[in-house]
Amino acid sequence: MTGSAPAGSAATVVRPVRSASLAAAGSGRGTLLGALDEQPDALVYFLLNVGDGDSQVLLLPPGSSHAERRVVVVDVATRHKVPELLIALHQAGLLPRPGTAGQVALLVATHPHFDHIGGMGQLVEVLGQGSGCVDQFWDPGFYSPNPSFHDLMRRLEDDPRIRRLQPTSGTTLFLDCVRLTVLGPGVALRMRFDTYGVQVNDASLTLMVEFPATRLYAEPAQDRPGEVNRRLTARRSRRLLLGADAQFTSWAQTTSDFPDLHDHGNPLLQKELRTAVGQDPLRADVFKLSHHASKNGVNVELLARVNARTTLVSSSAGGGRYNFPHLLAMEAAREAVQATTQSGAARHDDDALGIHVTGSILDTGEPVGSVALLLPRGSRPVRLFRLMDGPADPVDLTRAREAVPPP
Amino acid sequence: MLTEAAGAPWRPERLIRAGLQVDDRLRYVVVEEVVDGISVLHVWPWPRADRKGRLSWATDEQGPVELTVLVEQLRDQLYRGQLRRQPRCGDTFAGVLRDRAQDAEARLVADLRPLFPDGLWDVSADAHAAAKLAYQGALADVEPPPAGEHAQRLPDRGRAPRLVLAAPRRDHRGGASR
Repeated sequence: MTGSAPAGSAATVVRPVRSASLAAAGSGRGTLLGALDEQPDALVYFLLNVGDGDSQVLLLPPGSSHAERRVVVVDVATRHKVPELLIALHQAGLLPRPGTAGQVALLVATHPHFDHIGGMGQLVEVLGQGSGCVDQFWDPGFYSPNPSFHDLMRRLEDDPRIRRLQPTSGTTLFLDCVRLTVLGPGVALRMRFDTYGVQVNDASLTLMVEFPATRLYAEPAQDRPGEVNRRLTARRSRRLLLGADAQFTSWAQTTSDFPDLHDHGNPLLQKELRTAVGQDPLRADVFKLSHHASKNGVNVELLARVNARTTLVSSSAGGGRYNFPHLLAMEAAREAVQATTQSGAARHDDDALGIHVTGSILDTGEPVGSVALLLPRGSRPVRLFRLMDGPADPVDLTRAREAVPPP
Repeated sequence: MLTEAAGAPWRPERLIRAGLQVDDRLRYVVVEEVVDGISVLHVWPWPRADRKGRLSWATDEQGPVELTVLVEQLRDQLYRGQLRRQPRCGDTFAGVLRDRAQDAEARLVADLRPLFPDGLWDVSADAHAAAKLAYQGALADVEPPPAGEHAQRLPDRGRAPRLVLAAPRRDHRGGASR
């Protein structure tokens, strides 16, 4: 941990990652694949390093409906990264050959910006037009004149087997033991799209991923040998909040659609509410910040409510066209984890605060790159790996280095 | 690798009414992103319409030419006094980009006039209509028109205005509020 550099200087936005904060790559299949060999029922989330853009893949655990793993793909910014990852997962024995029927359980275009769908049409083509590889496609229903949007629509039109949905807040999909809930846009926002009075970023589909979605367990019935009783489990599942490019208007409606009903001043009432409705619907273990940590994507209040232990940013680490991530957003993320406004204490390093930027570089100058998060089914901790790739580099899972948990 | 777009060049109704020669010299310019005082224009080849009436673009691995312009400058040069709206994502223009405009990609563009010496044409309404048609076409079957029923046409909103790029009103090199 180190103290702060002068506020506002470029160096304070994203500092190089300390080499010591990442374990060695390991031999053979490497640490990430080794961890997956040990935990074959884990959920894995990939946030790929594509510069200022989003390409995300959820590697689903094998489930009751599918013996083999499937994937959910959320945004495809560039042409190569996601196809390369699917091939790498296949070569590692974790996925059937790309293009296998039903392999992509869900393809999500959060909103039609080039840095989110620039490679999606190409992905549909690579997976095989008419192959049945993509089961469902979700988008918010926002029209865009950009050519990537036309390209994607043309390929979807040519593949009518892909089921289409325009979800709004509250839509929930169960993929075996993984639950996806759409947090935004709300219906009221959706109804304004056609007026072009809604910013395309605020049309973003924001998603809460919950794993495991299992709510029940079975125990032997004491009085009826050979039979079981079902009971609700009190075990908390893990949650990932994928913020797409949502900005204030979208989050404002989300906080209205998903109110925090907990009464923190009354422990008894809080306990009853928690039993009745579960935890705060916006609470998450992992928050992929919206809009590449621009200053318009999140604020401290939202971050505090989400209360994530791990915060992910999909952007170059300074520079680029927009100089993402913005100092204000990064400081908000830091402040939400380590409040220093009152105390004036020195700020911890980002890795110690659980904040990870895909475009970060190591203190040796090497890219730290894509993030892979392994979410175990049981109570074991979430594990975070970095794939050490630049935006144009191929995906090599054997090079993954695991983040050393902060002290 | 270049992907060729088949078919004839797209002929937006308003450009045709304006009497503009529509050919492959034109470029399709989209306001792709507006962030913190910065706007990014994506400059694509002019689209072609395929046999089914769908638009496609010749693209390569590099993607579009990207021009970064301060929003205030974009408003001053292109919108002020000509368009009744603020620059917003999805605004679309047609124009002839001078050769070697890729040089401008690496820096903030201080003046759009040398890049589009003949000005730009506002084709936002036609482009949004085309995007809507693409979306609806991908959602459900496209039918032939029922006998006796006339196809619904776009409302006649007049000719596409040719937008003369004004000189920058002030020195915008100082940077945006970031």
